[in-house]
Amino acid sequence: MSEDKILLKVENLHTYFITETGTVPSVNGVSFEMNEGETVAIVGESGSGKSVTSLSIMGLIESPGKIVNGKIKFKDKELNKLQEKEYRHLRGNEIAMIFQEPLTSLNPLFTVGNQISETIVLHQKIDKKTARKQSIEMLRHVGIPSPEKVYDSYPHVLSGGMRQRVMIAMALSCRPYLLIADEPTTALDVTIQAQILNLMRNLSKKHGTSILLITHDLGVVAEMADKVIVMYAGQVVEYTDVFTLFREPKHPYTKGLLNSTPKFFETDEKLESIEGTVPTINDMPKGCKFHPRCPYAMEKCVVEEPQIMTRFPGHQIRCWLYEEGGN
Amino acid sequence: MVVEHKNSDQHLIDSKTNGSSWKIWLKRLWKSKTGTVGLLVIFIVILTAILAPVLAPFNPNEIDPEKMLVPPFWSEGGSIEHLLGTDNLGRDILSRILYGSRVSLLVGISSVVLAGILGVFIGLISGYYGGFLDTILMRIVDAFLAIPNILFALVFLAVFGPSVVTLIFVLGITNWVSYARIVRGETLSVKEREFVKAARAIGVKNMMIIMRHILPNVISSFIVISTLSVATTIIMEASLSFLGLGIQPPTVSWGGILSDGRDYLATSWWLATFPGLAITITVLAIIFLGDWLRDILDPRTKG
Repeated sequence: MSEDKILLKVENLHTYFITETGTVPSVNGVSFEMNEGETVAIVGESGSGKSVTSLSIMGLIESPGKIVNGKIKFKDKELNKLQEKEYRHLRGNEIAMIFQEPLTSLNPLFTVGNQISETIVLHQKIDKKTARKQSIEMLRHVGIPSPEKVYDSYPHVLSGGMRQRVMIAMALSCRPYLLIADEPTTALDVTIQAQILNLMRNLSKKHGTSILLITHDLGVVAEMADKVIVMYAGQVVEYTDVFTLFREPKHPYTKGLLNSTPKFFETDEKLESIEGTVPTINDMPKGCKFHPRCPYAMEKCVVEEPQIMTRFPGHQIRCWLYEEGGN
Repeated sequence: MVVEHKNSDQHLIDSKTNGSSWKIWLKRLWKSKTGTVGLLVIFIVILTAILAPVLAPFNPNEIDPEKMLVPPFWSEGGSIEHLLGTDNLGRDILSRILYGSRVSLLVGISSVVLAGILGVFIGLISGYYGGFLDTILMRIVDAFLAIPNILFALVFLAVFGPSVVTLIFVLGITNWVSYARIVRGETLSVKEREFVKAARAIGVKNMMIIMRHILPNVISSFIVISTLSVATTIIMEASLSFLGLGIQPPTVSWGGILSDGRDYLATSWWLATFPGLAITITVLAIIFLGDWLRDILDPRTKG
């Protein structure tokens, strides 16, 4: 597999929620690309539009939400121009998704096996017996002990970590090119988190699956990602590879995020936080959306919104501080 | 690997010794005493309905002017000939109840099934798709709720003429709205659950999501209301019969016997009491059975 083959390209994506009380721009001009086999993380606070971005890619935005502008290109297909039927064929087969809550992601009324087989039977024309065999193989693959037993179990007898494994098995059962993981470890305790992340990383390496990881946990990002997209109020504010991000974060928001992560050796210092909260839709500030919370805010930031600019190839940033190659 | 092998063998043995799912159901039915009682009673009631001509000692419409208002056999003046006594025209109450069960069960159960199918389907569609469709369907429901059931039924029966079929139909039509409302509400909450999102994310069709993921999750509340509703339907059939637009004589129904006996409640209690008792016992049995059904449909209760 060549490393720089583009799998997914999102260009200038705008997803708005059009409600009676006004239009809410949840995602406002997001662009990024993903290569095959790559893991890209989207980080940001709640309400920054990261989940909506992932749902837009899946084509699962529900009314009143709507993709009003932008292009999503997956392999050679333009996703936002697909018919629902073609899209459905893609989902689960070429793009799969796992969700935050493994406890509720499985239908409580059907056995685990029944639900994994559903995916397989849906996309591959095979009979139930073969699907069963494949499902059990998949369950073994994600590290579930005695998969035959789990196959016939109902979700409520499994622990959270086990259920998330089942979800991963389900998502990967058709060998998708892209796996979108929306905060896959948030609901799990720390030891299980590490196991699940390891599992995802190993499987992605083995099958060459790309992962789009949605998270707010920078620890997870450092562990997993090749590239990182930092989102704030529906926009990309910084976009770079993981090493650059952690070594020299440039955007004040990214710096703030990193500073508000507890560090192992500096136990006596008070943990910093970013003042204020993400602005609500109704009083979105003029100019740079981050300026009310930004310690470096200048006059220009208040009046004019910065565009995303390239500091050097592979590092994009949306901030006036770095205008014209500034550092 | 060796361990896993053992497990798979173990699994095969387990599934063999467990026997068919039919046996498991029976076993679980036996565990619930109320469920067993319910099923038995319903079984008996259905059996008597089928075997009414064999079991009934008299023709249910046979009038005997010499034996009017005979009390049940254990009361003073009662005879062993008419076990539950006779009515004001000298008809044998036991025979009438046996025959009446045929119509009452048929009307009660089929109209609930009809209302259920209609209501559940509309509720699912309305709740799942939402939007404009939902608005339209729910306004129709509101319109139905605004008209008193009995009035609607009267007009309908007056136009189409009273018969068992029209009665089933009209009771079904008037009752579907409550199912639609409840199922819609449940659907709204179930469709937000993650597994529905997950199903969409693996490319399952909408119709399939509704049938496979939503319907099984809303069906338990439907079962509970529908069992209760069999009771109200039998009663409503009785009131329609009382108003002269229900089951027409000579066809006998429990509701009909009940309303016939109402005038004699003060002097001859047995006229209204026995059909009332028949209704109560049947309804109770259906409710027991419904309760049990709801319990076993929840996989968490599986042993």
